[in-house]
Amino acid sequence: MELPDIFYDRPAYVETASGNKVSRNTVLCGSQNIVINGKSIVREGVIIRGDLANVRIGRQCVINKEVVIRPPFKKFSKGVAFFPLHIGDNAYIGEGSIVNAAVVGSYTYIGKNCIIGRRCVLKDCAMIADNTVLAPETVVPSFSIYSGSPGLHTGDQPDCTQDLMIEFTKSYYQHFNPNK
Amino acid sequence: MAHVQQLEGAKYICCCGSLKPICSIYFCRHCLRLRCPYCVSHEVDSHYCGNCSENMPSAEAKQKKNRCGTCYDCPSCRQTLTIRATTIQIPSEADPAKLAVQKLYYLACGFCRWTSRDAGLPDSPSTSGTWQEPESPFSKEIVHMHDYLRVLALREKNSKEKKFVHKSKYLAAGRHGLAHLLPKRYPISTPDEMYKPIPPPEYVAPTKGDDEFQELSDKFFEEEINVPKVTSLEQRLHQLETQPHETSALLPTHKQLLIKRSLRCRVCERNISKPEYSPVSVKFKIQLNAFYHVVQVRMAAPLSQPLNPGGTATILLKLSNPTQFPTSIKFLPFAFVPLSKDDLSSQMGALDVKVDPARESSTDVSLPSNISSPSTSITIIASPSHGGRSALPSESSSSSQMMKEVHVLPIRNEKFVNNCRLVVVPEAEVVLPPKDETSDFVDDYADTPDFNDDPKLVPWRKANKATVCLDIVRDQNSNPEEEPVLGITIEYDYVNTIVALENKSSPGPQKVRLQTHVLISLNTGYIQ
Repeated sequence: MELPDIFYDRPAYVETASGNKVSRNTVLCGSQNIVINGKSIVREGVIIRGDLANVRIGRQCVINKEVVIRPPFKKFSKGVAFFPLHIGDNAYIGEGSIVNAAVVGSYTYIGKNCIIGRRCVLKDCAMIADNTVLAPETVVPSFSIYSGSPGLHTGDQPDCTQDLMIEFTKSYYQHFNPNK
Repeated sequence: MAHVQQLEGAKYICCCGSLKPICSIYFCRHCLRLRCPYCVSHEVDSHYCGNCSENMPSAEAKQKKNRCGTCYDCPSCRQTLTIRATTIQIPSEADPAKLAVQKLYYLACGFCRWTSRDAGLPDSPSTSGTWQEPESPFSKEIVHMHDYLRVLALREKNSKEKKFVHKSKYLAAGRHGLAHLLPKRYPISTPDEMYKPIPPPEYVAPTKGDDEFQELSDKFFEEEINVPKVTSLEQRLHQLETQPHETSALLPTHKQLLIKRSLRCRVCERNISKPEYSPVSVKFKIQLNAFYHVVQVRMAAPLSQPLNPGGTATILLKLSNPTQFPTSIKFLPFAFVPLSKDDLSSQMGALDVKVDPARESSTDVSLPSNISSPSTSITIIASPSHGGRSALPSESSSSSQMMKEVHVLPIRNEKFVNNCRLVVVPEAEVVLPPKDETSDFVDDYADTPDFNDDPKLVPWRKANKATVCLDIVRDQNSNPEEEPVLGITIEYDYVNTIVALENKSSPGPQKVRLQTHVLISLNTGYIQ
């Protein structure tokens, strides 16, 4: 089934030269520390905490409504330090998820209402099902599906996940158009 | 992942009769058949830990019971445990009067807050601390049993006459770490030795019923059970050796290893999927997923209203060509005939050809159209564009392939519903250009060649994709409870480059016409 068209009000979004579409109704703290590489969509209500550490988002990602992206911290004997958060290319983060990971790999899919704990590492082509809670410092290996609370390895992705995700994020971008 | 693209709505039928979405089925380009995960042999390429991404040789993995040596799972909630550091002050070695700071480490679960201290494990002075392994109370019995069965297995193999020699060199047991069970070239035991009974292991004793039962102690009646202190079934089974009843006896378990696996066609024994060695890599050395080789068919839009028995509808199907070569697609009425052993015997009688499974050449697959074998999922017929070359009969090759398929593949024949059909089968073929990676960077398609499409059949096309409009009717006598499913057979061109690679004398890539059978469920609307 084709993705349905999603229409947005042109004044409500900022479109950059590299093709990013970022809603104005977002909280981008420390915007000088946030890099979005191009053709990515950041929808309404998203919070990106660039004030804590650098946040780098790859190409053609989709950050859905009301997602919180917050760089992780680590406690040391002398206080805490925040670590940068990298999101790869063609990643999708579903509505209402809270991402506190250190790395979100390329071609990953995070469902809605997930909580990705502190300093988690999501390897390429991983998938987190809807409503999953990942404990801090979990590593999600490539091609695995984690689901439930606590999130456990419950399935595997098909071999062609990379191209499925490229096609999915590309078609999301193509169907995300301004109102006429 | 299939749900992201709604690929579950279109099921491809493998030649064994199982139904799979396109992303979980493979295409063997040597046999030119679809192969589902049941029709391929799965081989373990390497073992690795999902947490620390460390590769482990298979011998070591076997020795460690397929578990990682350094990573632990929480015995309570099965999340990965993390190492926490604490400091204590101990009298310094140099000067006992002074206090020195020592770092100690313990394991903690970030989810349920379980720590190795809960299990009464002492903190370790090193980060890679060795934690107490649960001792299996039955370890002695297991060793005895293992030895006993090993002798039995060896005997059984030795006593077996070589009735059937399987020529398959890859699928032999040796590839799966069972080499020690294979018969030795020269039997090591003489017949006398062979029939000597082996004493059963000590523990094997006939069970006896007790005449008297011990009185249950009073504590079972008097003490109140503290439910949170009793382990759940899942927790017990996760710690299989000891299966503790109380949570205080739970010990951290080593993390289960994951594998990289390669797939091999069971009929021609060639690799269908081979991942790269590195555990973090998502690339493949060989990848013959049907997603990259077979024309993809799916619903472009949901039905506007429910389709009742006898009703008609117009559906939009989206086609896409994933290959590097143009293809021409023709729709045919559903023509899948399941693979069955009877089919084979009747065919064999009729053709009376000698079959040599060992010499089965799967590269030469261009068959004359009159033996479009009904028992396979993809039927190969002569390509009209290929002149006389493909019209050469190669019946022995085809039937030997079929025989081998029937012999090697499990016949699954999953039940399916097919209650819709095309009102008119369109005469025209839909030509799809090859997939072009650069087309993404071109915004306008001004230079797209004109395909002279009938706008009634092909209302839209872009790069290697097109939608087609088809009129369908639901069978009058179909069960109204069932969802409408359209069975359709599509015929398309496939350019096989492997022939030119393997066979130097071949004039170039071979173009064949393949059929594939798809069941499209019409009720799947897009759920966001």
